[in-house]
Amino acid sequence: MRRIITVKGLALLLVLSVDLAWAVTPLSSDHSAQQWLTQMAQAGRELNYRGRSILLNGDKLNTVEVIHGIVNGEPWERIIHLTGSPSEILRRGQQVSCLHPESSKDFKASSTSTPHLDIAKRGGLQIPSHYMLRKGGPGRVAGRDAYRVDVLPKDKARYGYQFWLDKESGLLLKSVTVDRKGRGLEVFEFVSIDIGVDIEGDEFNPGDGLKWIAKKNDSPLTQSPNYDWKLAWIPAGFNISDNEMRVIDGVTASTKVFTDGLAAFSVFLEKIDSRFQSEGTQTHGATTALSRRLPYEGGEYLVTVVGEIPIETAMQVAMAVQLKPLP
Amino acid sequence: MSERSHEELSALMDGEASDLELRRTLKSLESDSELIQKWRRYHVSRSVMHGDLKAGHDARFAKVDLTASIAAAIDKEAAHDVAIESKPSWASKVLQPLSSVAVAASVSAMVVFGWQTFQQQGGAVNAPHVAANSTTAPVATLVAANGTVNQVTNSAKQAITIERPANAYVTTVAESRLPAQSKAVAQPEIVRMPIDKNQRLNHYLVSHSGNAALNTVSGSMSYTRVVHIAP
Repeated sequence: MRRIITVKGLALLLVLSVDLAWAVTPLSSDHSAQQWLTQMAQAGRELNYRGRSILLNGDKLNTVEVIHGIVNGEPWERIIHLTGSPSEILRRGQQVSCLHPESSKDFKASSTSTPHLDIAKRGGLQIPSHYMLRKGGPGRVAGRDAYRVDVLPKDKARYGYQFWLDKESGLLLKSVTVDRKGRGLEVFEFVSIDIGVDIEGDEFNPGDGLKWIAKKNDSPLTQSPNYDWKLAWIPAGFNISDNEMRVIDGVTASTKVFTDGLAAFSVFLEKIDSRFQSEGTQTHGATTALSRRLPYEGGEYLVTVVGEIPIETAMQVAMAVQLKPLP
Repeated sequence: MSERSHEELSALMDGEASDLELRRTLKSLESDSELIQKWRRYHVSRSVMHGDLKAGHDARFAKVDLTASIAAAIDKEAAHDVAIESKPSWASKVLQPLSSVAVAASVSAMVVFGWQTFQQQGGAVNAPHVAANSTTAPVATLVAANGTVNQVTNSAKQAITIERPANAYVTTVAESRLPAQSKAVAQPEIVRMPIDKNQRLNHYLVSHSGNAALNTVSGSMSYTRVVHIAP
């Protein structure tokens, strides 16, 4: 059994000095809101923690257990749905799978072999200039002292946020996504959490009835698409962070991911049988999903935009997709 | 006019009326002419206070009653082939909030909208769409082309059908208007997307949550949004 060593203080860190786990550093009230958010992102990746939280998304309530630890220098994560049919999302480094009794599926079967670069490896968090940050007062979440940070969007293209950060470690304890009228769209909140604890490796074994399937080597795409595409418009402040072909449920979809550091949206493009897919839109809490058909050179394509962005932004993105033949 | 209707009218003006109050007030407005007059006076005074109406010059417009022409316009609209589900029993009303949480495993919201109108507006902020939420009481919400919201009660001329299968999604479109028949996006069409049945979209939602987890400060929180979805 693999044991993950965690440190609770600097002294212990010096003694062990072999461990990759990050020492808990309290939030300093002298620091700027930007520094707080940087620490929040780092704490979320590098600390060991185990807690239970609720996610109120629109009118739906999910209760989950969250376990996060560092194994072999990689972040491992387990999100366990606590109600209804058992389901989990399990992340072991680069591989992320959602596990269900009937089936388990990898999050993305990428055709490219380059490992996914996450926000940490790309040189840290850039708090985008399209938000205003404001330090809020002290508060209490999950029985722990917390500081609040308000993140206000400067334009209509994105939502705003309120984050509550653990005073002791900087970890995100509560997040509320708000629209421009200040209405809460989504609330994520730990109701209890242990931070900086030892987490055993076997805590990342899937629960009863669920199976983790080690990833097979990606088989290269059988056929590469004969089209290319771009977005004629993207909302200011968003940058492309991923652009690849993915096999999603057996179908090849060209995928581009955009982020402004706080919000992200994904654009999927696939060639479709013209009688198959339907257009439509769905908003669910902070998440917007929207599909439109795009005829091009006698064929039909389906553009799907999914993201934590307002529907107006998603619509404009969907309208901005331009297909072009490969050079 | 009772004290209560007066208070509810005020609440409605301020946009603070609850669903029940809204329905009660709409009902009283049907029979209570005093209340209707009050409703108009409130709006006139608000418009004047906001500078929308110049006192004197525009005051005659304040007396214009638009309700008849609006009702006529609604009559003229093509019906969407729909009619409200039979009145839910008391028990089902009470249980509704619970059952809507219980079906959390199936993402069940459902929206229809027309691409054409959207295109005409060039992706304007108030892109019109007709929304029918599975958990709302039998009141359909119409978002008109100018982006204002009108509550249409059962008594509205426009017949609206809301089928409610076990997993509570809503379909509102006649077969003849399925998008497959349109050749291009620009064709006028109302489309449907019963999310439960749209496996493809579920896959996209799950795939996106991984992207969001890796690319935003909230990190693994994104996974909690989709952990219940079985693609």
